[in-house]
This record gives sequence, C-alpha cells and structure tokens, in this order.
Amino acid sequence: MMKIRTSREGKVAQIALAGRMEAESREQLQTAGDQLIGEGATHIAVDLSGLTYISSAGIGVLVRLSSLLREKGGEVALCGASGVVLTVLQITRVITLFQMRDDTAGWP
Amino acid sequence: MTPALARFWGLTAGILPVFAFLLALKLLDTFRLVRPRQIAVAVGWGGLAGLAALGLNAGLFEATGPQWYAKFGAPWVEEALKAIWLVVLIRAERVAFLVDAAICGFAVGAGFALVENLAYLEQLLGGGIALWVLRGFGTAVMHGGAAAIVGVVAIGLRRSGRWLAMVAGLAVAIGVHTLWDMGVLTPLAASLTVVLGLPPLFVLIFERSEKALHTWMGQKLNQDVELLEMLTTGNFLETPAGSYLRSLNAFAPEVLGDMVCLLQVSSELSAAAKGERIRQWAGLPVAADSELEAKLRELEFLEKSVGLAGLHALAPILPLSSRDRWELQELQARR
Repeated sequence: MMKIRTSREGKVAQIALAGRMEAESREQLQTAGDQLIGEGATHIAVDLSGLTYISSAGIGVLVRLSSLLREKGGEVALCGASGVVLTVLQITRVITLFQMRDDTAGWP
Repeated sequence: MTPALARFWGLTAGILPVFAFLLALKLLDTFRLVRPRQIAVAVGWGGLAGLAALGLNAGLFEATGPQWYAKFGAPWVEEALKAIWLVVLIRAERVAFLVDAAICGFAVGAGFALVENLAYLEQLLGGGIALWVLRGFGTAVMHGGAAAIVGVVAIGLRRSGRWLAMVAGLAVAIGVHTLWDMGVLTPLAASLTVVLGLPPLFVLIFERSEKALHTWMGQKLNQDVELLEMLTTGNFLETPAGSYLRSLNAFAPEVLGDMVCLLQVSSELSAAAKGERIRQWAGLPVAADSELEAKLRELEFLEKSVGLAGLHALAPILPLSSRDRWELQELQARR
C-alpha cells in the first residue's frame, strides 16, 4: 500500500511517496502528478525516502511525468532514493533522466 | 445374516480400514502439507480412475485373454490411470514433499479400491467373509500403497528429471501390482505383507520428509533474509548476484529493474510463507498480512513483465524450486 502526500508553492511542487509502489498503485501517482501539472506546477520534487518498493510500472509513471514537465520547460527531481529503490533506478538507467537530490532544499 | 447385511459388513471390513489408514497418514502430517479438500479430490479421482479401469479392463480382457491380462495387462492400465492425478499435482507444483505425495497417492488408491471393491463385492463374498477381508482389504491397501509409491518415487528422484522420476515411480508401482496379481504369495501372506509392511514404510518416509522439510525451511529462510538484506542496503549491484544481474544486458533495462523487484517480492513472500508454516506447526493462529494479496498480484505482474526467458536467466540467483512454487500456491490457496 502506498501513501502519497502532495504540496505546491507556485510552480514548484512536492510529492512524497511512502510504502510500496506496486503496479496497481501507479494510478495514484499519475493522478497526483497530473493534478499538480494542471494547477500550474512545472518543477516537481518526488520524495522517495519513504518508499520501499518500486517496479517498472512506477518508474514508467515517473518517466511520463518527467516528459510532460520537460515539454513545459520544467523537470522532475528525485530525492532521498535509497536501498532497493535506488538499485532499481540504477539498473533501469532512468537515473540519468532525473535530477537526483538528497532533499528538496534549495531546489529549483 | 441377510445378503444385504453381509454386503454391508463385507464392504465395511474391506474398505473402512483403508480410510482409517488414510486418516492416520493425515494425522502424521504435522506440517499440514495436505488440506482435507485435496484428499477428497484425490479420492474422487481414484474413484473415476476405478470406473475407467473397469471399462477398459472389460474390453481388454476379451482382446488379450483373461489370465494373461489379469496378471500383466491390468496393472499397467490401473496404475497409469491412478498416476494421472499425481502427475497433474506434481506438474502443477501442488505436491512437493514425500509426505504430501504419499498422502495424495494413497488417497487416489483408496478411491480406486472403493470402486473396485464395490464392483467385485458379489463375486468375492461368494468365497466367504474371510476371503473377502483378505482380498478386499489387502487389495485396497495394495492400491493405496502402489499409488503412494508413484508419488514418493517421483518426488524422491525428481532431481534426476521430473518425467524420468514419474516414469520410475510408475514402473515400481506396476511391478508391485504385477507381483500381487501373479499370486507369488498366498492371499493371506500377501495381505499380511502389505498390511504389516506398509505402515512402518510410511512412518520412515514421513520421518525422512519431515527432517528434509525442517532443513529446507531453515536454509531457505536464511537465503531469503540474506537476499532481502542485500537488496535493502542498496549495495546489491556490487554483490556477486548483482554483478550477474548486470551482466544480463541483453534484456531491456526496465526488465532488469523488474528482475530486482522479482527477487525482492519473491523473497518477501517466501519468508512470509515460511513464517506461516512455522506458526501452523507450532499450533499458533496464522497472522493476518494485509499486504500479502497485493504482493501476490505484484508477483504475477513481475513474472509477466520479466517473461519466460527472463525467469530462466534469473534462475541462478532466484532459485524458485518446485518447493518454493508449491509454497506460493499454498499461500494463494489459503487466501
């Protein structure tokens, strides 16, 4: 079960994920991302520090979110990835598509 | 005694001890590897196999000659029909240990014997109740024992190849059945041999199986925990298993990612299943795991994503043996 928390200040938004992002919970992230973009966010920091699992389904949503924001001149930053989540991001090589940060301080 | 009462007592004496023996086997199953429903289905299959054998035997009796067929033809037909259900169970990874193979095999044989004894009741009762008890009960135990042998040999030798092990099991069962039908021993001696010889054999098999189960559970639980530790520290790609995974660069990166996820989810499920098994064995209630359903669905998603080729490539570091598969099936069936 994944828990998701969002916040936004102007064009900068944050999505904090916690728990397991299984294939069936990908829509939660997609909906949250679409909503923030619809509200005008161009820079989204996704906090992965509470996430303990992510598969290609979840990564697919992150990549899609990144593409949408790049079209608007924005970007996605991934923060706090560690453990198996970091391993999956490394081996799928999507790590190069995102700005990787320890936290959201001073971004963008 | 009226003929109807004689039939009733004849059938009771001939078949009841077989089902009592089946119950005793179930009670020896301390890890509860076999569910009562599985036993009932196996008995049902045995009954169907018994009906099919009656039809086939009647036709082949005429074609080959009664004497020759009864000794050398019928054992092949009957053992093959009984073995079909065991092949299905082993192929579907619903049976993975000597204990469950023996119980399911014996249950198939008990169902078969029930139908056969009903069919031959009149004929055998004509020879007196003593002959009936000897032939009816002895034959019933032989049918159960022979079918159990198919399962036990197939599981015991499966490392030599699954099909080879099943054929070997069937060959031993046909051999035992043929010796029985050839009448090498007198009916009394044959029945006593089977009735007195089978229980100690089963106890030996159960003891061996239980030791193997304990060892496997302990070793596999350690492996699962070690793998999970490697994954959660984030250094997995630097380990030998991680290096192997990185070397599989013929696969798309997202498939490699899902392979890592598959290692994680299968280890979590495997460890959870062992936890449940240990709790059951200790007589404790099974703890509810709200994430279990989601993890099982995720496992399905990952297996599809990784594909057959990916699963083969992953086999050296994800040893999902038939026992592990059986364990997952059990976990799913209990939900």
